[in-house]
Amino acid sequence: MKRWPLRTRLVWWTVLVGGLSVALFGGIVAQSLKTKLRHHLDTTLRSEGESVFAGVSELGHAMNWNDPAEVARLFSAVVSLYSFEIEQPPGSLVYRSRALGNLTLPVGEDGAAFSGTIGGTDPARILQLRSETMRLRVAVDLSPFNEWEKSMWWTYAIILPLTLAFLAGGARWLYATALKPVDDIVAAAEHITAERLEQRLPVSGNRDEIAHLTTVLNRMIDRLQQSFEQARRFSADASHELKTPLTIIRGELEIALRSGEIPHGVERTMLDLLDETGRLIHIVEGLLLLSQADAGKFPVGTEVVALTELIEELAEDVEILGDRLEIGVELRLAHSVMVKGSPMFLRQLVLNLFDNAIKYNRQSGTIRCELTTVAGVAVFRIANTGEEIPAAQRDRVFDRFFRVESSRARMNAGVGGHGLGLSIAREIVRAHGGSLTLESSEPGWIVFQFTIPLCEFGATAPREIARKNDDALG
Amino acid sequence: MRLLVIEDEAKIASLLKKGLQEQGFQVDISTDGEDGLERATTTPYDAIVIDIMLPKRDGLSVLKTLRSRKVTAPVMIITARGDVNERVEGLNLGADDYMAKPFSMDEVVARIRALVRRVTGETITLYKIGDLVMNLVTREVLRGTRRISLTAREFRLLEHLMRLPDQVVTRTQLIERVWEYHFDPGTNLVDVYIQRLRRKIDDGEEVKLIQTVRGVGYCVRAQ
Repeated sequence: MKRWPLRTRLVWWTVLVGGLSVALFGGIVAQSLKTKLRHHLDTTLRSEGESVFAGVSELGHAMNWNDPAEVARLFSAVVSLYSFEIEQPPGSLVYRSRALGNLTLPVGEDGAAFSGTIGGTDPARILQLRSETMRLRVAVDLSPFNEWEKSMWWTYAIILPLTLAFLAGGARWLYATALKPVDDIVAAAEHITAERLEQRLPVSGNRDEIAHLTTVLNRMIDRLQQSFEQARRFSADASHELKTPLTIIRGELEIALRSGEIPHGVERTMLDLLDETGRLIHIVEGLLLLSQADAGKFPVGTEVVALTELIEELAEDVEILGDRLEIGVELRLAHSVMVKGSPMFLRQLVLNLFDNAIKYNRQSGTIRCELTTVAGVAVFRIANTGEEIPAAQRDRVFDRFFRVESSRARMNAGVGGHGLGLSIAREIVRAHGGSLTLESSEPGWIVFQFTIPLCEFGATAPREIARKNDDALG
Repeated sequence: MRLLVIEDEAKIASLLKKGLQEQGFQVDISTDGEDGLERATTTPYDAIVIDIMLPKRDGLSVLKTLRSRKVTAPVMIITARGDVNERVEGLNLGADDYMAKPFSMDEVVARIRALVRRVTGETITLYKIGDLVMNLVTREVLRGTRRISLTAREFRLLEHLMRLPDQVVTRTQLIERVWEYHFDPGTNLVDVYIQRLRRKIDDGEEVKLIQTVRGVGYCVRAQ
């Protein structure tokens, strides 16, 4: 039952409780009616019986049972519903109502009504009265009464399911209406993500519990938004504030190195510092970029970028970078794939993926790239041989400063990187309206794939791809 | 050569002043937009460096006003990196070049030199170190009388080495300037290209011009 949605459970409970109430109410009413009726029957049975009994006793003379007129006079006040047997003296039958025919009434105790049957078949209520000289039995046939009772139960049997069905329908409608605001809240809440915290849940005009709940939830989102923005601003401000000191460190180092007055031993150190400053600047820029992305202000351009050529050009560098590990690069690129965006960031994106494919590759491994277009979308798939990423870490590869634990990566540590590469890559793809995913594939391969919508004119702009050979081995 | 630097951050301003003075420029500093605009309008400068974030009047407005007042001195704007809009707007408003913070002083110096020369018509067309001559216009490279053919990237690499003769350029700097990678893709990329360049320029020559400096960087030296 717990697995069912709330409204289904509510409907079931309503039907159950409603059904029980109706049944209980009906049962009690029927039972009390029946008791009342029986009591009434017994009372009239006694009054009818006693009036006849008295009629016979007060007659003063012996009743002539064969005189129809005298008999008719005796029973004139009696309703035909009642049948009589009269014995005078007790044990010797002198009269039996014509309605009984030759059916007999059972002999019972005197003075109290009892249940019995007429002629052993029809249920009846019977009263026996007795004096020294006479015994009288009066009976009322219960058949019509039983018929009525039976039809009453039938009515219940029909009305109860109808009532229940009506109740179920009504309850469904009622709960659907009552829970509609909850559905609205759910729908709205699903759209509120860390990136879109400025949205709020719709507050209904009613001043009910749900409106109250919504208001409270909205206030909670307010606080969330505040703390998110604080964190975001902190990251952006920190990166921004670091720019000036970094510019100065780099500038001063460059000026000092250029002066030519630096002793050789110190020059080496200063050059190392210059390089490290460069790395620091890369990290700060990466962080700033990520905080801009978090704020939904990724500075994406709107230039038309030839993705095919961009990848080809970078692949040449990648061949060189992979040389040390004898990594082979295989390219299968569709021609003239055009997307809209920033060439600088798209280069960074592809290079980040290549960088990753080298870093997590094995000796004499392979990098396999494929660029295709599917339904207005450019799909770039890059696969490299290497230790698969453990399942537990798959979800985290795009986290900031996360590095997959692998012996290969440690061995290739010289390749560089600061653990922001994939986070930045994902934000770049997002900013270009696509998505970057880690694909699951055959063992021994790591596969990343990104999709970016094609530039609207991309497909219809046939362009000769002149493979740039100027950077090739020459 | 007289330059105006409109920059409110004292430390950055003095860094620029120091770096540029060392290269023989006379540098004036202005610390807000209004003052900078005033000076730039009244004094003929050879080039103006404007930070976009300025008190009193922002850099883009200064630039716009300068251009509307027919001040034609070349302008370099300094932006925060990643702010594509500022950059594009700056160039549209008539800036001649831009630098993003955190910038490299070497780069600023080289670019300002180029700006000034562009205006005076004295464009640099030749780099010459020893018997290695690099013509930036015809894109010819000669070692003595031997003509050397270079790929585009090799050409740019050599250009960046020859631009600052005798001075060590680190691999990271080369990656940034020649490849324009804003992250570190590993330094053997530079090494491989340097090897190729060496094969073309220094192979069979008595004087080796391209020198490795203690495993840190490279420089072109004629000795």
